[in-house]
Amino acid sequence: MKHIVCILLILSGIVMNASGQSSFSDVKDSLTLTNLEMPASPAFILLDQGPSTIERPSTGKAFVYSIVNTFQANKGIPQNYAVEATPFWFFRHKDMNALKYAGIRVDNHKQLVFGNITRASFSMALINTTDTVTQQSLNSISAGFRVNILTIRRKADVLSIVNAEDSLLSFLKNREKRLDDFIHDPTLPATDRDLYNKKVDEFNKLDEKYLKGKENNVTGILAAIPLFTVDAAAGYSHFFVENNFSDDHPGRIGAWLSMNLSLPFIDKKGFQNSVNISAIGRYLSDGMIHSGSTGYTREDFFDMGGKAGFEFKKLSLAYEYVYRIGDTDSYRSNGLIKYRISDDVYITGAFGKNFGKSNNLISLLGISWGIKTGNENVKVKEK
Amino acid sequence: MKRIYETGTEAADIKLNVDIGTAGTAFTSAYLARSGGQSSLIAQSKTVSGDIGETSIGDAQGVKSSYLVIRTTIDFSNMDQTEWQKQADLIFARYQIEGGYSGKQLYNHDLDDLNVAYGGKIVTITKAIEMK
Repeated sequence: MKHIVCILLILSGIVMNASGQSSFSDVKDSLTLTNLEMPASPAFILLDQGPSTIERPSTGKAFVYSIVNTFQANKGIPQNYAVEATPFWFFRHKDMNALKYAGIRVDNHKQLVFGNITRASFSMALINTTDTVTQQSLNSISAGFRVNILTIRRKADVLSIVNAEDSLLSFLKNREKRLDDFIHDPTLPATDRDLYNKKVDEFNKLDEKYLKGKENNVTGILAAIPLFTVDAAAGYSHFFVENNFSDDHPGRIGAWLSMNLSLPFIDKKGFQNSVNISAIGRYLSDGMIHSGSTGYTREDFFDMGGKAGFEFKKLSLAYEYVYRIGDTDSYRSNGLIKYRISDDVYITGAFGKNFGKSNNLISLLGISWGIKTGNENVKVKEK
Repeated sequence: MKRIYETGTEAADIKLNVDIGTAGTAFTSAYLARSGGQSSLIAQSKTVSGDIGETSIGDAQGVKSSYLVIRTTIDFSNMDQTEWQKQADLIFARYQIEGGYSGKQLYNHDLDDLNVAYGGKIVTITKAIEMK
């Protein structure tokens, strides 16, 4: 069923004659239609490759590849790419533990509200667009970073995480007792490593049967959206006209700060839903504005706005409003709908008014996904 | 991989310290084992960190000709399955022994100390040190 919904929505996106535009200016140089958008990496947001200007950052993975596709522009072959990496997860950390990973101190269970600052992520993107004034192709390369400055969880969520970790610890203690009894000869790891490893494998197989149906839900408990977060991001882009290396121009420079408040509620059927409120302040310097006779010129803007939305199970609905202060004041006002097919795949739609006075309709329907990989240096094999 | 620590013959106290660094939930037990199946539990970690603070394992004479076996089990249930492999690569394990003839010695975990189960969800690290 999920696949059918997905295919139908993609097809409807292809035939949809939409005209999404740059959220940075009223010059039409980016979204044409049916872009397959991707997670909120600053390198992409800077170039307007998303239906929303206000995104709630997700948990940083060690390395994420993403592909943004435009069906019509390249017959379905992806032409826009991004990579995002979190250097923190490229190194071993002596003091890391499961509670610290969740933003909680292991000794007194107090929250480490600034604990994610060291886990900043860096992104790069390659985007191909068409300047809607000159009809020339623009190849942009952009780089950005984002960081979670502050995260506050609800007290009840902190308690749930601590309790879940305590039960996991009890399980491990119990498992150790069973493993020790099973090995029987305590000197085996030192005297006959091969036999010891065989016995551990044998124990794991038996234990797998023993544990069937006793899976814990620590991941689910940790996935609870924090009560309040503050995130910062910045990016820079450079672009080339008509694939000409010598015809290059500084593109956009941007820095933004966003705040998110999430208020959960349980519906009559017992599902946890939430009301989300976000605010953003952003400085932008846009060098991708073509003025006609004088070529590309630069304009500076300051944006501020907010977004309010509801999340019902897999569906989320939101409305955002961003006011722009610049040479000419303007605003962006649009509604968003998002349906999550799985953890990494979701369908996004947006409709509303973009910045500027003309060609300012936002009308998008797309799908987003991320392909993740580890940074393999020690290959873990299951024996 | 088995390591060797020379205890000497002094009556000095031999001490063990275990440091584990991982985003998974860790539990560590340290045993002193002798040939013939005799074994005693020396210490176990008390928090999810899997660390064992400085612990006396006995005097040099007493622990001589035994094996120190330290086993840490790490459970990655607290994160997405796509992260298990990466986080297994990032495990930090350091064992410090001091007080004997070899003085202060630091040992890391070796590749053959690792055992992976349930598709990478549970990793067991077993460090064996011969007390000579």
